[in-house]
Amino acid sequence: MKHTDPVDCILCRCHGEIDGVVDFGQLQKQLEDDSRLRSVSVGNALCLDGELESLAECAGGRRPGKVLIGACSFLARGDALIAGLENCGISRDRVFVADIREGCAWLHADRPGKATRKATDIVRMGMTALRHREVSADVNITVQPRVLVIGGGPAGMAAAVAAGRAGVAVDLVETSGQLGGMLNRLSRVAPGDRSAEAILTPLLEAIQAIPMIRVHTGTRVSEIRGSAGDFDVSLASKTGSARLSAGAVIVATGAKPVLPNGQYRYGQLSGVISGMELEKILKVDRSVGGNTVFIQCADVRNSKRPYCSAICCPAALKNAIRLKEIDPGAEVTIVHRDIMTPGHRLEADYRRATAAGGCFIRFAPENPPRIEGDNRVTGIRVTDILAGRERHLKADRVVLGTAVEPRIKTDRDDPVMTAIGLAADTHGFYRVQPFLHTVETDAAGVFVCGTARWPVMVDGAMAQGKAAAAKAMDLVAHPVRKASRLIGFQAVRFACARVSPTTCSGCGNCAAVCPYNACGLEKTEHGLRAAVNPVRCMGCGSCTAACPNGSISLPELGATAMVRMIENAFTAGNLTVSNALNGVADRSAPGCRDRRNGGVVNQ
Amino acid sequence: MALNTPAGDPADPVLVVGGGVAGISAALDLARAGRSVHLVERGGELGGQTARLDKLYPTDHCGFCPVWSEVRLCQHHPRVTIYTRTTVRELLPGDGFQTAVLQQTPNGIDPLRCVFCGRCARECTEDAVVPTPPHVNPPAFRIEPSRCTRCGRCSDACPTGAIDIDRKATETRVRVQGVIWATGFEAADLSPAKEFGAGSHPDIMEALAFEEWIAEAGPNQGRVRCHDGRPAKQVAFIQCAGARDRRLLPQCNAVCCMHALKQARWVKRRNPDCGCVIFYADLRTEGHGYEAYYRNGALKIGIEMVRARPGMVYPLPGGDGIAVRYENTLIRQPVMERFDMVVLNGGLRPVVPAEIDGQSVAVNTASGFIEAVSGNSRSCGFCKAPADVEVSAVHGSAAAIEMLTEGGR
Repeated sequence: MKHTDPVDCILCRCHGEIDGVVDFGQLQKQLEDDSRLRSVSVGNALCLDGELESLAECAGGRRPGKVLIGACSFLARGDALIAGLENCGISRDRVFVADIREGCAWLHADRPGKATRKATDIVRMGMTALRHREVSADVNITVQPRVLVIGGGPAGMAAAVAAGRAGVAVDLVETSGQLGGMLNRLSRVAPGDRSAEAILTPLLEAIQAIPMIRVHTGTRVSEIRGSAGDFDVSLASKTGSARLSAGAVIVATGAKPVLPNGQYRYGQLSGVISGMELEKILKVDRSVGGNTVFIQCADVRNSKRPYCSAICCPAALKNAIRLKEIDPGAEVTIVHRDIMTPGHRLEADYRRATAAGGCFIRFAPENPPRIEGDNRVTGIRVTDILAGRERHLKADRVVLGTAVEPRIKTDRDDPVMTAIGLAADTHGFYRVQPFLHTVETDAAGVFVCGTARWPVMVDGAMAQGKAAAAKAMDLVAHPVRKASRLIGFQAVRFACARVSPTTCSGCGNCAAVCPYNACGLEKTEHGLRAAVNPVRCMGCGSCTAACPNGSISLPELGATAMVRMIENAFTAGNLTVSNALNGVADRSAPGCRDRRNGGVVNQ
Repeated sequence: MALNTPAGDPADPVLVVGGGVAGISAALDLARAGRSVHLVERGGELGGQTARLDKLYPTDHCGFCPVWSEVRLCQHHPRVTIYTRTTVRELLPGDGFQTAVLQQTPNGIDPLRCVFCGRCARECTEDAVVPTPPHVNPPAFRIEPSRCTRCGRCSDACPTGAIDIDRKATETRVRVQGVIWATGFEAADLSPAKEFGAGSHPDIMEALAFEEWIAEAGPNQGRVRCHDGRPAKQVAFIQCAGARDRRLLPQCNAVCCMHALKQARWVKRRNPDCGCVIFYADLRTEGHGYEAYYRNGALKIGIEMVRARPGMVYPLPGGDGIAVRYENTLIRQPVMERFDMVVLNGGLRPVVPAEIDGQSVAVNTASGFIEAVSGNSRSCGFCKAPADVEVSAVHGSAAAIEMLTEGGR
C-alpha cells in the first residue's frame, strides 16, 4: 500500500441527516479542489441497496485505490460499509470511515455553516489518516494441538475433562501425588451437603476413560517459554524431567488455606483449631460431640488480607449442620461479621443451619471475640452487637474459619508464570480480565480458573474450568492462527507495534509500560534494542506514548499520520499551527524529515 | 483439527434462549466450536439487563461497552442466527432432536433500513414511534403496537422504505439438538411486602429503575433529583427488599449489595453533598475485588452503612420526603429518618418462561430457578442461580461446553 495511491471519496447524504445540515455543494467543491483526491462522489444512503459498492466501482474503475467514506460512525453503519467493500474485494486496510453524521451533522444542527467547515476538516483528516496508514505485520502461528492444565484440583480436572471429551489432547500436571486438590481434604461439600467423592469420582473416571488426557502427578512445571499457540513446557519430577509443547495453558493452581497463627490463640491453646482441621476430624470421626463455636473472618477482611475469602462461611454452615446432626444436644454457635451466602443454594444452607438449632452472633471487627481457658479452651466472650451485650459461651472447641490466600504474593515469587505474561493482582491472585472475559488474562493463550484467580466454591471453580477449556479449545482447534486474531473481545486487533532499530536507544521504557509483556530488550550488534513480540502485542499503544524518541509506533496510526491529521484539522494555510506541529513531526517520526517543506499543509 | 463432540454432528444446531450476557457467552462459544446457534431474544436487541446498566461494579465502567463488543461479535458470526422480539412458543420432541417453534412479533420498522431520521416520529400523532434505548447502535425507531392506530403516515414519510405496518407475526420452526436457557431475571412485584411502600410514591424506586433515573444517558443526565425536580439531599438504599424473605423470594440475589454500593458511590460522586445510607442485613462482597471496592470505594467517601431492616417506609404528608423507620442496633431504639429518595434493592426474580412447563424439556423449576437435568437441556446465568456479569459469563461458557461434550448423556 503506497502513500501516493489514489483516494476516492464517497460521501453519504443519509436522506437529509447529513446534507440537511452540512452544505454538500460547498463540501464537495472544497474536496474536489484537493489534488490528493482522485474523485468525489455522493450517495443518498450508502448503507442501503448496495449504493456504496456501485459508487466505489464507478470511482475506482480499473485502477483500484483507497476509499474514503464520509458517513456515519463506525459504531453505527461504518463497520457494515467497510464489510460491504471487503465483499467487493477492497481490503479493509484501504478504507477509512470519517464520521460526519453523529460527530458533526447531528451535533451541530443549529450551526450549519460551522458544521460544513467541520465536516470538511473531518473528511480531510480521514484522508490524511488513510494516506499515511500502513499495515502492521502479521504472523501466522502454528498452533500446537495440546492444552496444558496446571493443577489437578476440581477446576483443573473439569477443564481437562471438558477439553479431553472434545477431542483435544491434554496434559494435566499436578504437584502432589494424587488428583483432587482441595476436594481430598473436605469432609462434605457445600452447598447441599454432598460428599466429596460424589464430585471427584466422575471426574477421575472420565480422566481415566479419555485417552487424550495424560496425567502427570508428582510433577511441577519448571519452565514455560513461548506465547499463544506455541508454548514450550519443561516438567520436573522426582524421577526426572520432561518437555512438551502446548498451544494453550490453563492455570488452575488453586490457593492455600490460611493458618490463623497468632489469631485467637491458635497454636497456643488446645481446642482452638482451624476449619481445615475440623474437616480432617469430620472426615474420619463421625462422633464429634460437645459445644462448638465457629469464629468467622479469622485473619481475613482486614488490612492484611482485604478480601472476603467466600468459602469459609458456607464451610462453617455446612459443618455446623453436621455437628448438630451428630450431637443434637451440643450447642453450635457461629460468631460472624457478615454471613456470606449469596444465591439460593447457600442461602438455603444458612436457613437449614438456623433450623437445625445453630446460633448466630454478630461481632464488630474492632471488638473481636476473646478466647478463654488456661490449658484448654473453655469458652469465648463476645460482644453481640445486635443484642448489645457481652455474651459468654462455653465451648469444647473453637473453630477458626479458614480463609484461602494466594500461593504467591508478588510476580517475583513466580518466575514461571511471569515468563508467559501472567501477573498477580494487588492481593496476589492471578490478574484476569474483567466482566465477560474473566478466565482470560492479559496474555493470549493463558487462562486462569478456580481459586488461583479468586476464592470460589467447588461448583464455581468447575464452571470456570469448563469456561477456560472452551476458550483454550477455540485457540487450539485451528492448526494455524493469525496473531492479529488472538484478541478476545475484538475480532481483529487494531495494530501491532513496530520498532525502528536505527533510532531505538534501548532505554526499556516500552518494556516497563507494556501491559501484555510484549515489549522486551534484545541484544543486537548495536547494543540493546527494543523488540516486540507480535503474538503478545495487542496494539494498545502504551509503548508509543512512553518511547522518548518516537522509535516505536503503531503503523495503522503512526506519528506522521497523527501530525498530518492535526494539521488538516485546521483550515489550510494556518502556518503558525503547522509550523509548531512540524517540530513535533521532526522529533517523533523519522519519516517526516525529508518531506518537510516549510509548513505547507497539504502533505 | 475437528473437534470431536459426542452428541452428533458438530453442525447440529443449538437453541439459546435469552440474549443477555450468559446467552451471548454460550452462543459465541458454541459457534466458535463449530455449532450453529439460534439465539432467541424476547426484547428488541441483545445485551440483556447488563447493557441497560449505567455503570458496572467493581470498575465503574459503563455497562454497555463490554457487552456491546460481544453483541457485535455475535451479530457478525456466520454461525449465529439472531432472532429478536421472539419467544419460544413450543418445543416438540423428536429423534434426539427437538423442533422449536419460534414466534417473532413483527417489527414495523426494519432496523436495517432505518437511518434514524425521525420523520416517522414527527408524523405520528399518537407517540407510537419510539427510539431504541440510547445504548443501541445503530440507533433506530420502532413502533409501539399498543399505541399505533395504523394510520400509515409514518410509512409515507419514511425516505428509505423501512416501514411496513402490515408485517405479520412470523413463526419459524428450527430443528435443534439441545436448548440452553439463559432467560435472566426481571424485577419482582414488591406489593406483598407492604412495609417498603413500593408504588406509594414515585420517589420510592426499585433499584433498576433508579439506575435508569440517575444514568448519565438517562432523564436527569447523571443528577440525582426527586420526581418533583428538587435535588435529592438524602438517599436511602434498602437491601434485601423482597429477597431473603419468605413472602416474596427466599434467595439472596447475590448482586444487590454491590449494586447498592455502586449506586451510592455514583450518587456521591456526582453530588458530594448528598447523604447516602445503606440499610443492609449482611454485606456480601465475596466476589473478585468487591471487598476492596467496599472499603476503598464506598466507606472512604462517606457512605453510611446501617445494619437494619427498615420496618416501615412511607411518604410524609405534604411532599416532605419519605420516612424510613428502623431499629438502630447501636442505641437499640426505633428511629425515624427522613429521606428524599428511597431505593429498594433486591427484588429480582428469575425468568422462567411459561413454555417450559409441560414441554419435553428436561428441566426442574421447583426452586424457582431453571435447573436443567439432562445433557441436551442446560441453563446458565441468573435463571440458573443468582449471578452477576462475571459469573453469568463463566456459566454461559460452561453451559456451552457441557452441551458440546456431554450433550445427549
